[in-house]
Amino acid sequence: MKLWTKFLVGLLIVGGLACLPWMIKNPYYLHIIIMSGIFVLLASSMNLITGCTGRLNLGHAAFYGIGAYASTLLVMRLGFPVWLAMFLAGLITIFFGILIGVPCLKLKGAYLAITTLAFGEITRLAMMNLVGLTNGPLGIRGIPNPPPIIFGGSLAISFESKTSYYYLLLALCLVCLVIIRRLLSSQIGRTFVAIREDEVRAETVGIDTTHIKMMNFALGAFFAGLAGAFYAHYVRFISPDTFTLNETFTILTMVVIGGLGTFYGPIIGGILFTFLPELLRAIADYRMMIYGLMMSVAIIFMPEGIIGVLQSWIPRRTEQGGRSG
Amino acid sequence: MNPTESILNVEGLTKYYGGLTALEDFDLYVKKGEILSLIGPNGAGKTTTFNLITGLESPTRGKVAFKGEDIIELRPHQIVKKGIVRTFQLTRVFRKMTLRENVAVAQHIAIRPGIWSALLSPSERRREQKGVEKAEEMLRFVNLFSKRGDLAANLSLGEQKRLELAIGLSLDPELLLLDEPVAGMNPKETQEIIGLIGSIRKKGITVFLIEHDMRMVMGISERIIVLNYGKKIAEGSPEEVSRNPAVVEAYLGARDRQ
Repeated sequence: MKLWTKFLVGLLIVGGLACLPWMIKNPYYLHIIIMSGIFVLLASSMNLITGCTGRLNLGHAAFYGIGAYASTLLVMRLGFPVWLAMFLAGLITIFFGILIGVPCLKLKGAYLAITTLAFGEITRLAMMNLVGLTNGPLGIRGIPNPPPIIFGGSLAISFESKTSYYYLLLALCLVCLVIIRRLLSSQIGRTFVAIREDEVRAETVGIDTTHIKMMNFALGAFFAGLAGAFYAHYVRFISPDTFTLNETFTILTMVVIGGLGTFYGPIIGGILFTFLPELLRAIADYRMMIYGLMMSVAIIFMPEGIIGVLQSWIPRRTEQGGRSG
Repeated sequence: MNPTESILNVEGLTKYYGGLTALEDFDLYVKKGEILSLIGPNGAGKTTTFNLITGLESPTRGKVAFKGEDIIELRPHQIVKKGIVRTFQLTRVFRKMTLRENVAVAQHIAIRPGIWSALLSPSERRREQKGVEKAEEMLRFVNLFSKRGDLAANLSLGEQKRLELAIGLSLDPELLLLDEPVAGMNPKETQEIIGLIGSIRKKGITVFLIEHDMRMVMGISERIIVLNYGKKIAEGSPEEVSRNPAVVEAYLGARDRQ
């Protein structure tokens, strides 16, 4: 019965999301919705590393950027088909995820944050200065659309309207989120939390923490890379300005305020913090300042984010006393 | 000292922290199926010994062999796989996980998870399910079954120690190292743990423990090793050790300083 209701709710949400483009005709709104989907992916992937495993990764925008540049360059320089390039971009991002993951294995807390921060900046500087490859600060324009998907000849989805991109993103998000959900509820997800809680203890119950931490970084990088690849082929213009430290902090805000280490937290955070700046365009200059303030307040007053607050409203089945310190 | 009947052999184990000698030329063996205790004043090197055996620290020099196989180069999770499992003096349970999750996550070696198999393979789900069943069985064994859904952070110290035991046992150890299993517990809780250690031994698991509670040590150990300032000062049956003048001096001396 419970499974049945869950299935129904899921169907209703997916159905509702699928109908969205019919209700919203304004392309600007549709664009914001698509961007929020990209940020849901980014926040969920950062949450794998920062929320579940407790390793503050301040280079997440670099994974996003590497995915975008990898797919773009594969298509425009090497002539790969767009679909293949988007997937390969995810794999290339895994490679970079592991590249930064190896020196970070022994690092924790602030040291890990500084190292990943440096990685993010190096990546951005490489995008700026490898002019021959990336066209430097001018960025790359005219990135091709994905070719149309043809179903049996008569029915085809061509990627010219925002609506078709919306459906593509919806499919991408659903697949990625189902995968993340399944991983988090499996043994692998539990080992992530075990490593966050006590790494030494995790080793002494037989968990190969090195292996799991690498896997964790690779997974986080992969989903961020896919988001980047989608972004490149959707906006059709990329430049180093998109993949800055500010972007990382925006994603971090989404994860922290949504709910660190939870599945739904980054989804809520991702949607909320894509819409909010659009509503508050008048004070856009103070955005990062406001984010910083909100994060500080959230960490003090709602350490488990919006999800934590929501959960405290719903009575729990098992009685659980006060929060641990 | 017959090496054929011993499962753990330690030779010349030494650990210096800079100029500080934590452990020096320590030899020891553990016989299959026995309960062996390691005692000594604070700072004698007992926990360091456990850390060196379980791979959490690497020794300055010395040899550790488990069932004839050198394990000094192995990482902690590999040593667990070989069959040596430990608990911690200051309990280290996963505080923000439920009791059931605490034991289930420790079934890692049996579950053998992978990204693809987590997503696609029904057999991994079955192995995970088995892990949960095993967790519940172990929680029943240490009498914590009724709290299986609670967060470990909400347990009392005595309960956390029993949870540590459940985690340790769930790993099917051949040799179980218990670091002060009754420290800070009241007499009733101590009695419970002593009972549990008895049933653990009946399962054929060799127990090597560190303990300060002398009544418990004298009561359950078959053999005792005494450390002081990183050196072995006595070894033998409880009677032999308690009559040994060097041991008496080490303990009285330690008390004088406090």
